[in-house]
Amino acid sequence: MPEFLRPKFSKLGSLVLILLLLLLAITGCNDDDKDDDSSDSNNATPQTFTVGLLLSDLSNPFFVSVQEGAQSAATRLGITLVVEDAKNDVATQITQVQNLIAQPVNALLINPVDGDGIVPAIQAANAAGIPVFTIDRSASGGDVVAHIASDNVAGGSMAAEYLATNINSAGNVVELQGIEGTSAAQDRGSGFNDKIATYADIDVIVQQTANFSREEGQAVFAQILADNPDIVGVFAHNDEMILGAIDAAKEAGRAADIKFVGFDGTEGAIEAIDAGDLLATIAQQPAEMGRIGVETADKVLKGETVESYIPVDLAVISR
Amino acid sequence: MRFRFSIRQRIALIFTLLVLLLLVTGAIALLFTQSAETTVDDIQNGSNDINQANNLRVSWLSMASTIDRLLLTRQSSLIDTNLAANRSDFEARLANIQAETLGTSSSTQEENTQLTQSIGGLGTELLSYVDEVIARVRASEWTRAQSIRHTDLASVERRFLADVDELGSNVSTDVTEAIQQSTDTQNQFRTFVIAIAVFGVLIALIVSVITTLSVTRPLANLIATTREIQAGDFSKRANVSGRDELSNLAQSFNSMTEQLQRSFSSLEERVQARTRELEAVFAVNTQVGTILEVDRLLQDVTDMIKERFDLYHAHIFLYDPKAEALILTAGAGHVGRQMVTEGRVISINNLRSIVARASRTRAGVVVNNVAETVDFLPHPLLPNTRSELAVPLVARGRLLGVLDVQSDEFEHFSPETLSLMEILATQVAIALNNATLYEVAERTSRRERTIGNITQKIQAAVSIDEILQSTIRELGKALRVPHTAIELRLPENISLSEDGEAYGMAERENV
Repeated sequence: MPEFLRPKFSKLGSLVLILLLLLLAITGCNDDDKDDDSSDSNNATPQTFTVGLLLSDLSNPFFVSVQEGAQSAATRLGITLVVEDAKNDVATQITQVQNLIAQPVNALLINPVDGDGIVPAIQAANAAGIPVFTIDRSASGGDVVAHIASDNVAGGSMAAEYLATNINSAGNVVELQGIEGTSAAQDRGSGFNDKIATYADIDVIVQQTANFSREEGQAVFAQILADNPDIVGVFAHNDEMILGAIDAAKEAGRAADIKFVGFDGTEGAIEAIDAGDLLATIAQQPAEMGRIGVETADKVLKGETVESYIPVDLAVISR
Repeated sequence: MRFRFSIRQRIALIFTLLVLLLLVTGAIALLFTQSAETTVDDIQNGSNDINQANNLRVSWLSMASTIDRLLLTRQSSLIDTNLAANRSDFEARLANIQAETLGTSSSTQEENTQLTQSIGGLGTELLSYVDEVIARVRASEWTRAQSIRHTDLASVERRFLADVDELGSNVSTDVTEAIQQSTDTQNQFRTFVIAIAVFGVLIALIVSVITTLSVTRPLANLIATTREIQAGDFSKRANVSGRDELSNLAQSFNSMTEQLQRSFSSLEERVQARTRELEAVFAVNTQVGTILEVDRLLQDVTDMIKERFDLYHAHIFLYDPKAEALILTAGAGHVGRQMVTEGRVISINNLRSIVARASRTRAGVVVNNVAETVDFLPHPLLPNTRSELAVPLVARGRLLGVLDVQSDEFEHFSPETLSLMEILATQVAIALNNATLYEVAERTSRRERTIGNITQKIQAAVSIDEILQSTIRELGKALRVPHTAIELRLPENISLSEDGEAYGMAERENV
């Protein structure tokens, strides 16, 4: 019995096998889809990160806005934000970086007091494997994942164009520069000068630093006014300096003859525009810088790649 | 490949296979149709979702452009006309997108729900900044309004548009995936249908070829075998393989052929045997007719019978009516002669003897298994006897003796052999009778010649002495006795010539 039954079973078995294979092949595609879905959901595991935000000077309202924006983004993304104020001192900022590396944090958002001086601290963070981002001001060395800042070159160019239009593209112009060596001062200056050079009848007669300070701006511009009787326009690398220059011009009684263009879009500048003293300011978005800084750090920590330079939009605020 | 299925099962199997293939194809077609339907639904829903996201985006952008125009042209009238319309449109679209679940797969739906929530929140935030801008504009704080537009509102706008874009890309990814899946399914379906078609055709071809071969090959084989058998070769057999109807047929055919062969060959054997026997009978008859001496005749007969019929033994008993016994007179070969010398005698009334029975009944007796009959009288010189046949030798109604033949095989003697033996026995009996008659006649004639001689001599004698001398001399010669004497007495009645023979007889008896 079993001898002649055996081949019968094997034949039936092979038939069943073929049909099973067919069915498996048909249902195979559905299984693939399920696999894809599960792998997708695995990536979305929630993680909490700690990010250090090192600001150069919290007495400046601009950086307060940066901090606020960063904080709101951090809250939204569930990130713990540690904020440090360097009070415009490079040594303090380097110490703060070292402390945060030791803490440790997952990422560092640095607004350098000095682009050169901060390099060792950035290198230390690199050695510790902590990604570094710079905000508003760039660093001249070290491995920085991304630099988040306003497009200062474009901003300078915008300021030049707006000023030129309002002085009928002719006359003597003064440039009040920011702290030497800062990327903001360099970029705004180059953007402004490149653009203003295209107007044949406009001469930049004085280029002098006032170190981003209202008092210095006032003092420096008072001297410039005394030296130059014919000035139609002033561009300052920030609003503080331009407000100082307005103060000096008012004192000299020449404010009505001169068009003032600032940079930053601070409260004081807006009030000055409304008051009719200031022609325009190039509005930065400090809060947006803070937000984008934290969002970019979050993306990098989650494994995404980002551009090495992330520009933040600028706008001309005018009367 | 050797089939173990019957032809009917094979056909059923083919049909089952084809039906299964059809079912599988049908099932796949059904699956495909279903998946195509789902895909179409997905694509429709997806494009609807993309539209919603785009509409929301466009709605916001038109509102943003109105605000920019407002800030640029400083026409505050735009607030109540264009901006109000933009605002209500945007609010409606925002509500729409929040009310619906976007996306097809559950994971993207979950993600999209989060996105729409975020978009809703950002939309509300946007509207609040828009309100603030409007409020500043109404207060104629144009610079402040610009600032809000370019800082806070721009920031929220950026996130809002990013989320809307992500939503749009999510949904379009879903749609793309659905389309891709549909294309894949279509390709798979096509591949499967082609594969099944090829598979089906191959299976059908292979199975039909195998089935046809499995039917035609045995048939051709069977036909070839039949032809060979028709031509007379009974040794041919059809190949029997498998367990189907054809193999059954082949088996029956083979057993039929075997029976045919067996009966044919047995018939031939029987004819040959019969011919041989008839030849033997003829030879014995021819021999028997020429022999006139009884002893030689019987000896030759037994030898020839044994040799020609290829028997174990043959011998002849002669009947002695006075003793009512059968005397072994001749036996074939050495054993037969020895038995004759021993002087074997069987009483006719011996109930344990087949020979006696044959003589009693005067009919042939066949015992094809000596162990099973009481008649059998075993003999130590013939230990291998298995079958025995005895026929009476009868001439002119007189029992002369019995011819007894023995075989060392069971069931050796057929009725045909018996009748042949009876014919042979009749011939032997006649020859025996003839030989006996001849012997008697010759003896009579010799005696009469001797008497005639003696009579002549006596008649030629001239004296009584000479008569007596001649008589004695001639009688002595005739009777071959060394000493002959005549005693003369003188009783009352002397008649010499009358009693001479009686004297002679008496003389001889005295010798």
